[in-house]
Amino acid sequence: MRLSELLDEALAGIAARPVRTALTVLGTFIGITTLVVTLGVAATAGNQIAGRFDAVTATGVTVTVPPPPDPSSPPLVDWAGLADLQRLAGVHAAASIAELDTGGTGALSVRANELNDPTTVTDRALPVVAATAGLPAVVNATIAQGRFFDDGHVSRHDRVAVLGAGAAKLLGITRVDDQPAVFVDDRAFTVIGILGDTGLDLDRALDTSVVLPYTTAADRLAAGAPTKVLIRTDLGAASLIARQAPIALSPNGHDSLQVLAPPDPASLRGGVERDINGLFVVLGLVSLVVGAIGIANVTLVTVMERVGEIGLRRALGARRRHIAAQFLVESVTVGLFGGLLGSSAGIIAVVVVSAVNGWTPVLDLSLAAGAPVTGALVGLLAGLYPAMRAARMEPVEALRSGT
Amino acid sequence: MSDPVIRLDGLGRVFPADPPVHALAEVHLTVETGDYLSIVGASGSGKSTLLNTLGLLDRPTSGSYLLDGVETTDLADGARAELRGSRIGFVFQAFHLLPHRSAADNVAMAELYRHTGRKHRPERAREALARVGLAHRAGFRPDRLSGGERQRVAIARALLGRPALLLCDEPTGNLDRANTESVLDLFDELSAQGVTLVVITHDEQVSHRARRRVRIEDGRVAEEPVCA
Repeated sequence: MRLSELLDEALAGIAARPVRTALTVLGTFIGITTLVVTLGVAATAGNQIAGRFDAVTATGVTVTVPPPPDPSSPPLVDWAGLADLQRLAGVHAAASIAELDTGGTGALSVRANELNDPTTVTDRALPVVAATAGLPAVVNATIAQGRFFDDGHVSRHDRVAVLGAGAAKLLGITRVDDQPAVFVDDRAFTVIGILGDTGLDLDRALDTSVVLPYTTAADRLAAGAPTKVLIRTDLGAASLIARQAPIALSPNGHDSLQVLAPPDPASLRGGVERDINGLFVVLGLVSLVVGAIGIANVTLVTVMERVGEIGLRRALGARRRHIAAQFLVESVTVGLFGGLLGSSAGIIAVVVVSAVNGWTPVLDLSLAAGAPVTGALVGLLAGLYPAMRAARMEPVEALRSGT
Repeated sequence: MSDPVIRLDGLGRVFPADPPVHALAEVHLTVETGDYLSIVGASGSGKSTLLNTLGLLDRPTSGSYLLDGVETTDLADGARAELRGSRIGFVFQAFHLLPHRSAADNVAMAELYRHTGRKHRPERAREALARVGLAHRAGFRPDRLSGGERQRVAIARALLGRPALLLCDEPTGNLDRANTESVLDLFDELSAQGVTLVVITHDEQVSHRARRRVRIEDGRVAEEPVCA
């Protein structure tokens, strides 16, 4: 018996009962469709999220420096350490800041002028930050008025200050060309610039802060070592810099530094895919199992119905393996049909979902090719037992009981 | 002289039961090429067991069975299936036609498990149908044929490939008188053409048409003269 004859016989067997075959195909169809839609939509959506990933937040890395465990020992990171960090490939800009914290409130008393007016509140409790000169570039800050202090101000220990937009408003300072002064803890600083109210993505708190050169802050307000290092990396280098920065900053104490880096886009995509997949893959597999049971059931019923045919085929010289092969091919074909239809429907569904959401559909080729194969495998597994039953039948019994 | 088609020597078949059932005992029978033999007996006489044994569907527990000179009792299952497919044509009481296939397809099925190519199979199937007088029904499905026509399709299927033996099990059991006559006439024709026929029946009318008659009773066979 040739393969083509075997296929003809199996197809004729399936075609003899089209409605039953269609219902049997349905189980595998639903299972495969669910799997293809699940995996396809997950891949598409995951890709979508990674695509929308904000390039700005993807390049910001924050290293938080805890105070040294022993107050008398040197700090984990000092102001000069920034130079080592900036030598790393992938660092676009970096700045150290120290939040001045004297009373545990995180704020110091700040006022705009020496005016004792009992009817108004002139003192504001505002956070005061000591920083290196490169801060605006790192936090994407704009300068609304005046300028930011530069390395010259820093090295000269100039008594200058830059206000966040919120802080300037609170203090009533609207212009810097008349060189207004602010008093921080009763020490006077000349305001040389006001930050814009956009940007500041790495440290929103700067908006309401008074920013001083770190040298001046150390002189006048006993500011200590940096408490935070803010880094702007090149696109794509964030996760690498997140690993390297602590070592560059503090070779001996890098374990103690806490790094806040944007999630890796790849792992983010994987995470989204896993979230979506978990439940639905289980659903798809369950429907596949149900489909397999359906095929097994129907094939078994078919075998029982066709006992006479089995007897006849044996009388015509069919061996047991011919009988087994015929029923196996029938169930594999049913599974394959289900797989083909299911993967087609699944792919269409993925494309439709993508079109509705304006996404780019992402389809794994191995998914499109593997789904029909999976269907055929389901059919094969489901057909094993019925085919064995059919092959084991004794021809005498089969001829007697069947019509 | 060539080998006889069938040669049974001391054939026995015991079914394991308590007590053991001797369905066939010491059966001696020779069927020559071109013979037209009927086997008659009441139900339970061992008729079906003899048919199954002759058709290589059942294996005897003792004795020897030569089909076309080939000893069959010690053949493996697969070889028996092949011998069965190539040397024996079966005609059943229930016809055993596949309901969703045309008459020609049903006839062609006889060659499915043989080593003949499929190239001219449709022509051969049509020839076989023509031989039983049903050339005009080749494309019909069995449910559109009368009982007699169905049985003749089954006979055409059995004739395909020129088997050494046509083994008929109650071929007229499901047929009315007119259809029975037409099938028996066909048997006469085939016999005249040299086909070896073994017909198992409990119908005396059928057995009277055969040239030899064997009666089976309690597993033992005895040849009876046929009154012409």
